[in-house]
Formats: sequence, structure tokens, C-alpha cells
Amino acid sequence: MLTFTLRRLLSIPPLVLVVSLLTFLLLKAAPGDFYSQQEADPARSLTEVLRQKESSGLLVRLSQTQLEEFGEFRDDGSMWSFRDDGEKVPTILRDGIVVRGRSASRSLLNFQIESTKYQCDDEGVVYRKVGPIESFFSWFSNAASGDFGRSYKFNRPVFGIIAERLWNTLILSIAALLIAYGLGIPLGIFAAVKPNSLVDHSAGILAFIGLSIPTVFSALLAVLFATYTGWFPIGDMRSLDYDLFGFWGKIGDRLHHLFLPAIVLGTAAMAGYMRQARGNMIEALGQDYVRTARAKGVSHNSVLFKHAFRNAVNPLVTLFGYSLASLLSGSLLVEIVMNWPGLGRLVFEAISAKDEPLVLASVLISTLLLVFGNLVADLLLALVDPRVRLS
Amino acid sequence: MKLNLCCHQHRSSTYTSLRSAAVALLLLPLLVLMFSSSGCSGESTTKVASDRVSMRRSLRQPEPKPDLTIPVGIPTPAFVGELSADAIVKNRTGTYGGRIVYAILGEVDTFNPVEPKGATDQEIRAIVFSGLVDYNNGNWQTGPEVAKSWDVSDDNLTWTFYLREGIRWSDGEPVTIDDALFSFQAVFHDQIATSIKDGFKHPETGALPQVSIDRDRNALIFQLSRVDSQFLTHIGNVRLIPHHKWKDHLQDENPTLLQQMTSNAPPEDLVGCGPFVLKNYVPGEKIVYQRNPYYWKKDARGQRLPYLDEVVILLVKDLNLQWQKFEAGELDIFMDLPADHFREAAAMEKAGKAHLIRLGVSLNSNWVCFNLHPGQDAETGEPFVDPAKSYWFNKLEFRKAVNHAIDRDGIQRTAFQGRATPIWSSITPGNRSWYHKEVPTYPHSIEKANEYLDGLGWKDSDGDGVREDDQGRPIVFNLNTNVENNLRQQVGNLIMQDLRKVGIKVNFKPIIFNDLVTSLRDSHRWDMILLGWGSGVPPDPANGKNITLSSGRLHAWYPQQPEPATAWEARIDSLMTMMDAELDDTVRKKYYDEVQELIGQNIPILYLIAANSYCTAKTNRLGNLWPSLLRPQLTWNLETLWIRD
Repeated sequence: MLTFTLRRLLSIPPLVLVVSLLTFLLLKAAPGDFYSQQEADPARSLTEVLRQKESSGLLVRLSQTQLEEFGEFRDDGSMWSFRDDGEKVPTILRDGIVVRGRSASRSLLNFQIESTKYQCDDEGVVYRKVGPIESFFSWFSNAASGDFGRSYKFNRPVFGIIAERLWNTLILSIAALLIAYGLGIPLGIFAAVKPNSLVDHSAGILAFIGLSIPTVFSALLAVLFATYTGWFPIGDMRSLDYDLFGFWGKIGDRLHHLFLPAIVLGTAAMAGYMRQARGNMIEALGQDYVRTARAKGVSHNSVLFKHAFRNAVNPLVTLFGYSLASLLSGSLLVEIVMNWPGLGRLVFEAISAKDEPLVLASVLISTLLLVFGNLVADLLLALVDPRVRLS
Repeated sequence: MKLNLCCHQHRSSTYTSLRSAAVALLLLPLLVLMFSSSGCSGESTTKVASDRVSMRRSLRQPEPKPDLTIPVGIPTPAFVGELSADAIVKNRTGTYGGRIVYAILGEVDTFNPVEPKGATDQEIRAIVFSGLVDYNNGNWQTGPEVAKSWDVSDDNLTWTFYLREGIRWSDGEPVTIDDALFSFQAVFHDQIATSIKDGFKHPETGALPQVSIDRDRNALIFQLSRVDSQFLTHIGNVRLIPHHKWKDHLQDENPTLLQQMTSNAPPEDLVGCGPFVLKNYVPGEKIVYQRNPYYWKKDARGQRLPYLDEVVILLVKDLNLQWQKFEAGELDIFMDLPADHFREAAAMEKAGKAHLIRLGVSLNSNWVCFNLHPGQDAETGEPFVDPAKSYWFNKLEFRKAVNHAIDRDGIQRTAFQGRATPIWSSITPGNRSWYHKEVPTYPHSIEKANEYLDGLGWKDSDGDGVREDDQGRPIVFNLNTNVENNLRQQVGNLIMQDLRKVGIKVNFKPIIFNDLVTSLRDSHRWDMILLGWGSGVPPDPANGKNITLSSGRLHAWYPQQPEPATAWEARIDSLMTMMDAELDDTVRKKYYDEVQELIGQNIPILYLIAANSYCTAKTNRLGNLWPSLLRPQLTWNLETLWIRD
């Protein structure tokens, strides 16, 4: 079992490398970057936007010596070159005539020499655009030494930002998981024991409703329900005056807020577990050993839980491993609609804003959770099923 | 001005539609009943008409008046220290205590006032940080703040700001001339990337003003290298930060100032001289401010401001949830009421739960624009715009025909449900200071449009309903807008139908925001685009230079021209330069009137419509509310708001 675990753990670094590289390339493939919105804002000059890009590492400022080494190059129908006259910025020559940075920038805002892209701002400062592969490896080498970068948006180390939200999401997901397992498996077993009974059918209908209604929609219904009845708070994780409550008041307030989102998430997941449990259980109950046990005169409950259930539980344990991985990302839509201050909301915004360091860090966490979730599931499986041997 | 690509419609479009579906499911039986029992449509049209009348009447929001009879109340936390003899006196009265709760869509990126990143940061930084001067959204004027007065030299190049004496930071230290100098040094620092710096730069050389101090006169002196009509606005953009707190973070090389006051900074780090201080910030949930005990303004009765004990801002991601919270009474105000919720807001007003505030025509314009870029792709040598399309777009008669063909009233009635106003210039009637009545208009007339097109000799010769130009090419082109904005998609569809009626075929394709910006800015591969400009504060056209100047990055129809492409664009450039160098607003208005006329005559960009602007608030609960068309409409004067209950 130890070698198995070790082997699994050893597979993590290459997996992380590939996953983060793919994430990175996908982020870069879509048009625009984090600063697109600012570039479209007439109140901002490009010079300052480029400077911010430089501080985020998307651009590298070129020294005057590097610029001189360009020699003459063609762009926008003219020949250009740079000269170091000992000033703060280089002298720019168009067809041999000195031009101001501002007028040069109209042509040289984007230029290219031998497939490397450059940008020149209003003040004559020239930057090199950092390509996706290059920026990935600089990110990766920093990450290997424990520095995962600063979020462009928040200008803070990424893990601090994630840690602020992590617990909130975990609370919601674990509550949902408890509901899903706590209701789903007993209902599934019950339905399997009495197939085609009223309970089975109503549980089946419930499951199909749960499976077919998207969580966004049920979350919206839940918000409407809260608004019209006034029984539950409209979104949020805790009340405005939470800090003034006593210990039990705080717990009560949290539970009150947790109820609706957890139900919404939990019932959606419950349907799957319930159908799975029912199917496995029916299959197990049809096996020969169950008939043998019954023939021996083993009591009904003993047959159910000692013989059939232990055999039916294996796929559910595997499923549990996957559900660990979705702990952090599964609640995204509910978080947005119900204003839950969780990680999903943060990551969603980071993806749409293309805040790359933040996205990568969260993808990394999800990847690790998936790997560990699978590992835990496999170990658990070995624990509950003596037939499974890990070697 | 801002490129208003994604106003609130996009933030939750999926949820909007889903939510409507949910409501519809729940209310379907009810709706059926309503339709069968009453003539619903007739009622709604009269409502629209009456709404328009009151719109005109209530354009100007009255300034609140002091009432000496109301009780004083007890401030908690109490004020500390002596009030400065230099204190600003506000002509208001109010009762101490209570808190205001409102929500904003978005998240705090940073609390640092030197580089506010997102819209949220800009909105909230005024709560804690004050500048030398301040713009009053109520009367649309810049007035003194930490500076008690200023003067300008005869050549308009030297500005002297005299600081108020005896005012204190929120940590009790006095606000000195060194603090003011430090704040400007921070913004002007070579290695601090902040958009606040932009306004101060010389447009050609990029040179920044020289700042110096005069300790005897307690004054900050700016030496400019050009006359700048917007200098006061730029000064107001710089918020003061304390020298004693941050002096070690403004190093010559690699200053660490921008890494301070981030969103995880401890509240006591945010030392400002604004009316409130940060009490508590919970990411994704709320920002709580409490009274700055050292605040240095007083009211008509000599009492210190602010009246409110606390300001609570809830951070909400979803517009619908924000509305539900307002409807349930959890929020005191709701700014920027989206069109979807107008009816509900009106119903709330009828029920006496909240007051619907009609602010008049918003300053945000919607427009369509043709691609007039003559350039070609550097790599492939292909022209950006198909030569046939370029030929059509560059015909003034064609643009006039299109302008006549678009039914602005139809757009107003259908897409905006009557709550909008047709416009003919980027300056909407809502902008009292800069609106110009005499811009050329092109009223809806299919006959006129046909006349122009017939005059060009572009007729439908093969009878398929689409005209061909004089070389037999059918007039077909694309219209793009950003897919995130539902309202704009409706407008696009209406334009498509309108142009179809005069024999022009438009393929309407909404695309995602980033693609749109990329094609507008870099690839230039588009035919006709439907977008909007938003307005900044103050709403001065000088803020839109990036749009108006032919060299501008957002000169939509042909950006970053090496030389002005046409005589009228050259004239606009020189008018804009003259505007910059002129301090008298009446003269500046004359210049800008001409700019508006030139754009109206040459219509490279067709201004269409501006939505009306609404807020809703519990006006019975809030005292001294002075709504403004300028954002933040209701909370710009938090220092004098008070709670009535």
C-alpha cells in the first residue's frame, strides 16, 4: 500500500506541469488580456497601461543598447531605428529623421521583428511582449520555488486571496456533501429493497427532477422563495450584524444562511448518489450469495447491511473521491446567485478578467484535490473491500 | 468618458433570463388573470407618457435645505479633538446616529488611493480619502476641500493651493503641507504606474508639472508647462495620503507604495482625512466604515460632520440578488436602476416603500459607427475594410441615408420601453453644461433615405430587396456589438430591420467583448459597430480626447491617424487643443459646440439614443439626499446624509 501511495504521489509533479501548461495556453489563446478593459477606457493613456503590464510581467522593458542592436527595420511603410543619445529614452528615427515618441507610437504601438512582438509607448519606451511559453516557464520556475505570483487585480500573493475564501466554499460544499450522502444513500437503499413501490417511484421522480434542474435555476427559485416567504435570508453567508451575536447566535445565523444553498447543491448531487446506490443495491440483492444467505436463515437486516450493502458500496466510494475534487469548484453558480463569498465566485471573476496567476493557483489546488481525492478513494476501497489489493 | 461596453445588463444576463423564467413559472396563473381582466397595454402607454413629463420637470434635483428644529442626537463613536477654525461649513442639519446600507456590484481590488483599479475602488476611495479640491455632483462644480482656496497666475501656468490649518488625519496627526507634497510625489513617481498621472502629462512631451511648497503661506505650488483647463479636475483626482505613515514606501527605486493599502491591509492602515474610516472589510461580503472622529467639517448649527455612525456597503455579485435585497428592505438605496426592474420599482413607490428618483437623460450615449480605416494589414497586405464597403462607408450621402433610415423613436419605444431619449451628439440632453441644441439632426424618414441612395445611383436592379451600388455590388455588411449586453442586442436587431426597409442588408453579429475591443483596436476588421460611451465625472468633453482627437486610441472610425485624415478632423483637433488651453468655460463650450456640429455634419459616428437614468431610495428614511445624474448618484455626499428614524 505504501508503494502504491508513493507511486501515486510521484505522478503528481508531471500532472501538475501538464495541467498548468494547458490552462496557461488556453488562457493565452483567447483574445485580450487582463488589461484589455483598461485599454478600452479613454480616460487611461496607453503609457500607463503598458507600465502596469510591465509590472505584471506581461511586458519586458528593453534597454537602449538592446534597441540599438535592432538596427534598421521596416514597419508601417517606413524604416525605423533607435539611437542611444544618453537620454532617458532612446532617440527614434523614421527614415533617418528624428521623431517624438508620441508620433512614433502611432506606428510602432505594435511592431514585429523576426516573430518577436514589441510595443512602443507615447514616451518612446519600448517593451517586448512576453510569449506564452516563456511566461509559462518563468511562472513555473517561480512556482517551483514557492512563489506563485501576485494577482494582477488585487496586487497580492495569490494564496492569501484564495485562503480568505477557501473555508467559505468548504463549509458549503461539505454541508452539501453531507446532505447528498446522508439522504441519497439511505433513500437509494430503501428504494432498492422495495423496488417499484411508492417510495421507489417517488424517489425516482425526485432524482430525475434533481438531475434535470440546473443548480442555477434552483438557486434562483430558492432566492425567490426566501424573498416571498421571508423565512430565510436572501443570499449571503451571515447577517450584517453577525459580529454582535453570541456564540450560539453566530452558529444559528450561519446555519440559517447555509440551509438554502446547501439544500440546492445537496439535492442536485443527491439524485446521482441515490440512483447509483439503488442500482448497486438491486444488483447486489440479485446475487447468489444473497439468496444463499437468505436460505441459511440470516435475518433480513443482516442480509441487507452485512452482505449486500458492503458489496454495493464500492462504486460509491470511488464517487466520493471525485466529489472531493469538486468540493472547491462545484458550487460556483450557486455562490454567484446566492452571494456566497466563496472561491468559485473569485475564480470565475479571475477567469473572465484573465487574472492568470489567480486562475493558475486555483487550478493547481483543484488538480491536487482531484489526485488526493482519487488516492483517498482507492485507499478507502482497499479498506472496505478485502478483495481489492493495492500493490 | 468611458467606453461603455458592458453596462450592467451583461453582468447577469443568463440569470436575468432564468430568473424571469422562474418568476414567470410562479406567476403564470396570476398573469393570465391580469391579462384577461384588464387592458394592460393601454395602461402602460399612459404611464410612459406621464413618466416623460415628470422627467422634464425633475431634471434638476433641489439642494436640501437645513431644518433647525430636528434633534441633534449623539454621535457614536464620538468626535475627538478640536474643530479647526478653517473648517468647511455645510449648509445642512441632521441628527447623529444610524447607518446607511447599500450594495455595489463588484469587489475591492485595492484600497490604495494612488492607483484605484476597478470602478468599485474609485467609488469607495472618496469615503476615506480627500483631495485638495472636490467635485460637487449636486451643482456640478469643483470646490475647495483640504485646500481652502487657490489662485492662478496671469499666464495660467502657476497654480497655488493654500492648505487648511488645523485639520487632522484619522489617526490624529495634523495634515501638513508635507503630506500634500508627498501625495503628489507619489502620483508623479516615475516607477509608480497609475492612471491618475495621465491627466497631468504634457500631451506632446509627457512632462509633469513641477511641485514645490511654500511653508510661510502653507501652500502647494504647481508650475505647469502648458495651460490646462482640466487641471483642477486632475488635482481633485489625487487623494492625500499621510507622509508620516508611508514615507518609507516611496523609495527612488522600486517603490513599494502600491503594495500597501491592498485589500488585506489592516483597517488602521487606511489613514485618510475623509469623513469615514474603514472599520471592517470581509472579502466578498461587506465593507463597513465608521465615522472619522477627527473629521473637519461642520454643519449649519456648528455641529461636526458626518451624521452617520456607519456606512455599510454589501458586496453583491448578482444584480437580481441586489434587487431582491432592496425589495426586501435590506438596502436603503439602489443606484443605477436597470430597465428590468423599473416596473417593480414603480410598484414599490406606489406601495409607499421607496421613492423612484427620476434623474433625467443619462450621460451615456449609444452609437453606431462605420469603419473608415484606409489602412491595410502589414503582414498580408490586405486592406482592413473590403474596398467595396469602404467605398460605401466613405460616401457622406450613404451615411446620411443610414442615419435617416434608423428609427430612433422605434428603438426608444421597443427596446427602451419609452424610457430613453434620441440623441444626435455624444453630449446628451442630460449634460446641462455641454449640451448643444443646434447639432444637425437626421429625423427618421424612409423617403429621404431612399432619395439619398437613389441619388447615388444605388438601386435594387435584380429585385431581391437589396440595393446594388453603381458597380453592381449588393450592399451587404456586418454589424457587431458585444454579446454581453441584452439591450444593445435588441437595438442592433431594430437597426437591421430599419436598414432592410431601405434596401440595405445588415448581418447582425453580437460577439464577445474582448473580441470586439481587439478588432476595434488592433485588427480593424469590422464594418459597422454598435457601442456606447459612458461619461466620467466631471462630464467634461476634455475627458474624451482619446475619442475626439484624430490621433486618439478610441477615435472609433479610424483610430490613431498619423495625420488628420480629413479637413474637418484637423479642425476638430485644433478645436480640442484650443479647449485645453482655455480656462473660460463659455469659450470652451463654443469650441465644443463646433466640434459637435462638425461631427453632426460629417457623421462618421451616428449617435442614437440615451437611456433615462433612475435610482430608487427610501427617501423617508434618508435626510439630505441630493440625487445627481453623476455617479455615485446618491452616495457622493455621504458626509451630510442622516437617518430619520
